[in-house]
Amino acid sequence: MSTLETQGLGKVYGDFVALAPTDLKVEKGEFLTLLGPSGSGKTTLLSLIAGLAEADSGRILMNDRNVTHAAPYQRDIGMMFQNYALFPHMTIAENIAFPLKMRGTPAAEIRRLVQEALDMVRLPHIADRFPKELSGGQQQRVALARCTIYRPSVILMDEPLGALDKKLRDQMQFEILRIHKEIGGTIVYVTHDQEEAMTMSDRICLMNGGRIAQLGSPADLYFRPQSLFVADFLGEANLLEGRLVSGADGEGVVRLGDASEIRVTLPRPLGHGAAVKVMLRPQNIRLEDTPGEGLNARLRSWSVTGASTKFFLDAPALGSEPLIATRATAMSAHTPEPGRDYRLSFDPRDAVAIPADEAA
Amino acid sequence: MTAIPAPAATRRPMSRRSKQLLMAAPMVLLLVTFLIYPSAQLFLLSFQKGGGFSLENYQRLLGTPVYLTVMMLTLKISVVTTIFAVIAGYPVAYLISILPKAKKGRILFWILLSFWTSFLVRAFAWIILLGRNGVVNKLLQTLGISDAPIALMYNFSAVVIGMVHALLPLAVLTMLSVMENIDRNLTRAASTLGAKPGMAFWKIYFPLSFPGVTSGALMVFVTAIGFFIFPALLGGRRETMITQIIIEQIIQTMNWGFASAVAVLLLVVVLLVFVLYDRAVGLSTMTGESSARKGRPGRKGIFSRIGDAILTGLGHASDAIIGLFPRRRAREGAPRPLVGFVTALLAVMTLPVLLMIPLSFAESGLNWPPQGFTLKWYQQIFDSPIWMSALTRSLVVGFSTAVLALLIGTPVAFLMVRGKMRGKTALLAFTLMPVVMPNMILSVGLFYLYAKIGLVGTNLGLIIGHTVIAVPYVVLTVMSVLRNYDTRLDLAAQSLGATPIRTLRLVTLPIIGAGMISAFLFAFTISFDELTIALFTSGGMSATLPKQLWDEVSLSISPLLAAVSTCLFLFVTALIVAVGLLNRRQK
Repeated sequence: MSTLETQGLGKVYGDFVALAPTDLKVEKGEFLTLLGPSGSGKTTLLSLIAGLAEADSGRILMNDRNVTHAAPYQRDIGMMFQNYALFPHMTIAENIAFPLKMRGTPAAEIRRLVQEALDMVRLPHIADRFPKELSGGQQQRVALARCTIYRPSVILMDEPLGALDKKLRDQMQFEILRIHKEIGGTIVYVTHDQEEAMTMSDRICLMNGGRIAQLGSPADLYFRPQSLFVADFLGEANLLEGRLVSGADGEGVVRLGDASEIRVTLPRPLGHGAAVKVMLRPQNIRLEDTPGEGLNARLRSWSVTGASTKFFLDAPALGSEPLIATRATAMSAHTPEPGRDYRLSFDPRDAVAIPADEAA
Repeated sequence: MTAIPAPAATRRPMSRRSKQLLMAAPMVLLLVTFLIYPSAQLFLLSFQKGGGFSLENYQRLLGTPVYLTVMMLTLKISVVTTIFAVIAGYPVAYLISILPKAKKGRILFWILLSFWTSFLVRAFAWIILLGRNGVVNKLLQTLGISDAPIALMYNFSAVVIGMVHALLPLAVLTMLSVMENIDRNLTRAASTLGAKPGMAFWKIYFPLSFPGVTSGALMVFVTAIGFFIFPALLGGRRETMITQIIIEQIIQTMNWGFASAVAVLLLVVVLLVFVLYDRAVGLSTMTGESSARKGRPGRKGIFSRIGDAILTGLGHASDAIIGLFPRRRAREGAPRPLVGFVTALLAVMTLPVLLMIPLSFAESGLNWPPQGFTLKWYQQIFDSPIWMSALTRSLVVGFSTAVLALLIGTPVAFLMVRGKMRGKTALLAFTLMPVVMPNMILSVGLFYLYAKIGLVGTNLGLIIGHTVIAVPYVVLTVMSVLRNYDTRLDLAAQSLGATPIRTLRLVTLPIIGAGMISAFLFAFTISFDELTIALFTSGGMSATLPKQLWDEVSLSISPLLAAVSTCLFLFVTALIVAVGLLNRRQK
């Protein structure tokens, strides 16, 4: 039984399709991330699940109960807002107690649970302070305590870490995962940060233009993108144009622009002669010092970007766009001269053929 | 390093401190000379009788039953007005705060139109409306509720109706400034946490909007307590308010000492209200900046617990009532009953003045319904040297006031927003003094001062007086414009080689220009509508338009006055529309 399910759920604002009819199942205890650029429909989907917007089509089921037209307070949800939405006129304890009071929990029980929740988010001594007196990270933890204290079956998070700086964000990611494990709830998380999504999620629902582009585990999306959009959105990708010459059992051969042929992986069957783009991640390209058989390229420039060094290469097989390859940055590596030639090699499992005519 | 010194380095720059002094000096000088000094004079006068120190004025004031009755009635009218204006205004402000931008502007336009239409014009509209043959009486007869005209005017209710109508826009605008700063996600968050709509409103939204309610009440009360137009025109013999006594004492008996004592009493009451307010709520809430309680850890007092219990009760009660009705599917728009109420209220706010317009073209006098069409009243205005000279004077004084207020107020606004200095709060409080102090006190004080230095009946006297009351509005308007201005643009211009003066001329002013014109038009409108100062310091052939209108209204009600009021109203409407268009173009 899935905790949360949408069936053909859609939302339209005038002429703008914010969310095309969408089917989605979230399993109990799962951490699912809605990822996508702004305007991709991820926030619309979240608002519909929360009951903050009204669906134009389809149904929402929670624990098999139809809640499509239920008000937010009638759904079994908790929500963490981007700006925390702590009530400024209430103390921290009152903020966290609010959902319990709304549910008529006895006062003594409330006191106990609030203290427990504060301990859980590691802020045991701030019960009587006001939200204004807390740092951003502390407010974040309080918001987390407030939306989990009544153990809702689905917890929705709308870019909760968007306002924090990098270091604090990493800490809070860990914190959210810890609490997710501790209370075992189901989480639907919205973000536009792919790294955050890859780190935290059991599954990622990547959205684009109001629909689901691909749904799967982070590794699925990263290594087996089914469209150019997915390949391009998650991580850096070189996209080599070509035509499928032969293919069977998930493997195939692609002929590139200069008639050279490479072996590739086919995530799904494609017809012979189909126009494809071959995705090659920069870190999966090996630069052999001695040019020879296969793909050759000439170094245009290079730069150290931190842990890795980026090489920009020109290859006749690839057209005008430079090919990007990375190497781990190391002092010992000699400084290459622009203009020198390399032979490119890679594992065919890392070269993924994607249909080229599909809308991005 | 540089061989050629930069040109600025050759001249010794003025120290920051003296620059700041120079920017604030004109306004400080203006307010000290024409607000504080005259008020202090009145204060001294109130303790004098026959050239020496005496408490006789106060003994007479506090020892005469008639005056005590007037004081009690003044308080009663002000309190009742405040309660009605705040309660009726709250839903309006709430609706405006939750509407999307485009619709917000439409409602705000009607509120601003009422706000800027002069009290005198609106009082006059009520006279026509509530008269023996007015719209209301005709309507009651048509509906069969009454057979003969009822006396709707010259009583307590008429005064309160007029005053609530006059001050509702002020209540709405003050409350709105707080409500606009309430995060809408908070009630949504409450909803996801399990609060029903009624509970979410009373436990979350209402407490957060409460500073707006109190500051709205404060503004309405201190304005109401200084009113004289409505009791004088709509009230009966018994509905006399405290400022009317001041007018009577000055104009009829020239009893400066006694009039001053009444003025001092009025000021004491106003200040007392402010002090009490500050104790109870804190004046800082007036700016709409902090909508949260000051953080003080520890246990809560008995009052906040009782308050909390009351709000919880209200929440349950509201949800029970809401539960009786079927739930609407479209949750996203504003609740329909609220929209209905606000629409009706806006109609009531605007209609009285609009109904006056057809009467100004009617041949049938001021009786409803209007019959025939004539321009003769307008013709009479244009043929009358008295009205035309009043119109000219109002335009000249208004224009001069706006220029002067802008010249004096703008540097202060720059100082308040950009300057790094201590005592900004004090300077702002000082700037706002003319708003807080009842205009009647300022007017009497100016009259006394002008009488000594020969400014009575002169345009200059009027311009100075009007500038005193217009400057705070200019400062506030320009401040809000400057707050929205990205100062990095200035730095960018200067880094590209522009001197500070050229930066101001080529970058800053073109961008904030629309805001400056708004400030100019506000100042103009304030002067153009102003009656109290003109009441004392102009007269006869030197009257302004409102003063002339006031004199005539006091004598007799004629369709000619409906025509004058219509002109005034249309003129202000044009100004408000102009400001609105300017602001829209700016965005």
